Amino acid sequence: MSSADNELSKLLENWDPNAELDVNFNRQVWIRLEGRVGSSWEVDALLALLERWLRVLARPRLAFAATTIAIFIGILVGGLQARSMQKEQYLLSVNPYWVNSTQTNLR
Amino acid sequence: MQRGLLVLALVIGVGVGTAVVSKHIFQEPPTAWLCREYGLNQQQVDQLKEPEKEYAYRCGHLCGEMCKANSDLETLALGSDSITPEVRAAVVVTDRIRTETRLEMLDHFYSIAATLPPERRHDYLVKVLPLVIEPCSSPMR
Repeated sequence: MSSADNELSKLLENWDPNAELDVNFNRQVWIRLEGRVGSSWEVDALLALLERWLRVLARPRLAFAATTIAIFIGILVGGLQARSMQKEQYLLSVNPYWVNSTQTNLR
Repeated sequence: MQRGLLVLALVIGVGVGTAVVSKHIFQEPPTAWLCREYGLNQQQVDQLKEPEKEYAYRCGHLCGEMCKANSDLETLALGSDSITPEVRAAVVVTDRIRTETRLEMLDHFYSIAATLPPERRHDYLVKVLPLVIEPCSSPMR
């Protein structure tokens, strides 16, 4: 044992922790522990999952595949929207009041 | 992770952009709905063109008249604090034009219905008549 260790041992023997704990110390510790355990495991799991997905998505092949799928879905959605609006467009095209109401302030 | 976020944003952006562009690309003339809904052939589609043109011309003329009549009514109504004979006359003019427009619409709808298969005419009229009967309401129904 070195002299530094001896000095430390003596110091610890003479140390008298005289600090008094707060009356609610134990209760507060438990409250903090419960709060941490209860609130975050689901969030942590979700964040971990999201992080894993994002790491996977960052791979060039998967990024390319995801972009290609997004383009196909975009074409499909755009086409369906254009088709679903046809009736409304026809009714607007034969409605002179609609044209008129866009041209005048008095409606 | 940042790279993954960037890729995700790119994928979403590309998807939304493609949807917007393809919506414009796939847009067809309004009569395309008539053809699809009522199964018209090319000859029937060609028959629609002339009434469409005439209707657009007549309604364009009436729209111009309506705009002017509305503008006159607005000027007179704002310049008065009671119903004067001039205000009353201006209201009558707008109503006359509105009635003429409704009759034009009805006439056009009958002419279009005449080109459709007989069993589908009633269905077409049910769809377009609200424009004539409730002309101030939105056609988006």
